[in-house]
Amino acid sequence: MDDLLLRVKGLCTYFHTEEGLVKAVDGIDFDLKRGETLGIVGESGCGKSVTALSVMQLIRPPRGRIAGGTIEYIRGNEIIEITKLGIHSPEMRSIRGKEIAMIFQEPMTSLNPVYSIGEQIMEAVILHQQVDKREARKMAIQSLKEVGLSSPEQQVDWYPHQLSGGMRQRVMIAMALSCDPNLLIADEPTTALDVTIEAQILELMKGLQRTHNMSIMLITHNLGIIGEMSKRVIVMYLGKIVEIGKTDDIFYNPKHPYTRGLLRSIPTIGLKRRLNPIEGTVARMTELPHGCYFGPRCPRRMPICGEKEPPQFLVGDEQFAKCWLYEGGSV
Amino acid sequence: MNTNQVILEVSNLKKYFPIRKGLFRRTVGYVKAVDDISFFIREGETLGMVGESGCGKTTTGRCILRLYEPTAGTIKFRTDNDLIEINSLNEHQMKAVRRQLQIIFQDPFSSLDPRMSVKDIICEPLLLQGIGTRKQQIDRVAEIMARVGLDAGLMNRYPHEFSGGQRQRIGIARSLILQPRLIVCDEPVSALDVSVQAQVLNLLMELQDEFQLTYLFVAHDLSVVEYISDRIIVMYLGKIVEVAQSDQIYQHPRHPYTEALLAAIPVADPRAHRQRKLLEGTVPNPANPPPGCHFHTRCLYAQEICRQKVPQLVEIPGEQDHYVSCHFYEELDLKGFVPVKSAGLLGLETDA
Repeated sequence: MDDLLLRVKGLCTYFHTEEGLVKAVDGIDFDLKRGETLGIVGESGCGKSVTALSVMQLIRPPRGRIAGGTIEYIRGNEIIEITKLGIHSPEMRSIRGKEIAMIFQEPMTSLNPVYSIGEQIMEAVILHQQVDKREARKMAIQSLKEVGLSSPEQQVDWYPHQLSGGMRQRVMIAMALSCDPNLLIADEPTTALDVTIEAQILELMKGLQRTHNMSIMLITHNLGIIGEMSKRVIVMYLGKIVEIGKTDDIFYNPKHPYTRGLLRSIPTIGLKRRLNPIEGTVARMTELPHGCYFGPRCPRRMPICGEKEPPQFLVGDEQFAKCWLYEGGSV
Repeated sequence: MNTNQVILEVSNLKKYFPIRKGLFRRTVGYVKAVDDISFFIREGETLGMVGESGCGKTTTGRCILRLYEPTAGTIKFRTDNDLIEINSLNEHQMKAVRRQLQIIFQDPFSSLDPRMSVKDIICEPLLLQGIGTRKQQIDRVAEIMARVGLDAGLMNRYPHEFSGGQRQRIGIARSLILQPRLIVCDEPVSALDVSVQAQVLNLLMELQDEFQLTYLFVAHDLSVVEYISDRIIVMYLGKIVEVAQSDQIYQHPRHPYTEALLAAIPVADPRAHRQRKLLEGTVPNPANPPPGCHFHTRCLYAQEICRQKVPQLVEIPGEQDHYVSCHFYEELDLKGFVPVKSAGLLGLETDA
């Protein structure tokens, strides 16, 4: 309990669309410990980004809402229920951006093109910390230096268009870290970047995590990045957590047929094996199958899978799989 | 060793894009997107082409189809057992060549006309080439849709009704319908989710066997390229830095940039614990590339000569089909990719 930072219980985030109700996140539970990196992996539409936005209280009514469950943020002895705080409430504002910060996939669209990067970092610093402009500027330069910009004293006055994609993502990280957050949520932070730049950014995040002693919630579709970065991983499919466990167990001893299918779908250099992809396509959110959502694509489907949604079964050390195969502990 | 004959030969290809500025749009410089590259593709092989954004891989693919007119250089394509120069053909002659030369684009969302039904999209090449009666054309569309894994009953629907993977299959069907011999695949799976990506990769490989296709496979994902390619070209800032058999590239790279690319790949193996050297800095501006070897600004092994002299692409003596452009390739002892040995990951295969 002491080392817990975030506890999510039964979180449901729904959106009202023209095609009907979309249960983007539908009853998920997980914990996040202090200083750990938790990976969330899944294909598009699985709800991984919506999970992150829910934690940040960035789901906007009336289209979307947190329809159920709780998100508890633990600050020392205090437990703050994020789901109870209003989106625009002062409490939420003091947490969002300061204690929980977020970086997004596309660093160009997340930066404002008409303000210098320094001004944008200073905005966050001044909003959250009692400092004057001069002090804020110093802090902005310091954080740009920390993320590895070569001449931060000059670059602080640059505008986003003067920076490359990798540098923009560094600026985003600098902004996120300027208030020394306890939790950094990174939503596909390197997807838009080239592979050599991606490696630089991931190394940077690892280093900063150690120096700032923060937790990272890393959202990605790339299993390679999960393997490099996180100790624990959540696998999501159509708004549900289908498997959760230590990364090592998930990669070496995956239990859920979807996790196995994902691992079989990625080309691995030097293995010289035929890819064995999951059949079919992800169901539409508005036309979900009965029972287990993965049922129609599952190679190990049983009669019960089409009738009843499986609960999470304990399948190993801190490893859970949402699959009827493991009913009665048959691991 | 593949000893098939060469189907495509590219020599000294250059494509410069002018940079225009000011009221009169005067040309103030050039972006040398592709700067003097030469390579060949053998019949029936898959030639992978990798590199980071701005390296010229997409431009090369488009020049081959003459979607861009090259600034200089020649492109020869084998038709009727002769290598003919296609970049001097007129429109009419080129139309005949296009039957054998097709492209699959990256983005299945923007590359399909939203106002055309799937039938019309797939059928359009037949119309343009004037092949068959309407009845024959429709039959052919149905046949090809079934072959790429689409329900032919859906041919009257529109692209927005299909998922990303299905749209990419539509793009593949369209490029296949003329029964081409060479297909340029420009990042065909980059926009797809992993499970769908694997389906499309396998489909491309099956189609290759079935129709004796040759692929130029342009991609930035090195794991995907390794999976599908026989040989691989590595590009950097408009130049070819290394060409070799796929195994050679991954196990025994000879160019520092190739080594760096391999080191940067994230590995889906939590037990890997690699010691890796990461590249610093970013790719220089292609409008103003550094003198000498374009890579010297980021190279861990650069010396004085690299700043002054452009290295030539040479075939490494004693290693067939392995070309490199580095002044120090003989001395450097570069690290290949350490393959995942995970019994656990392999053990997946034994699962029922």
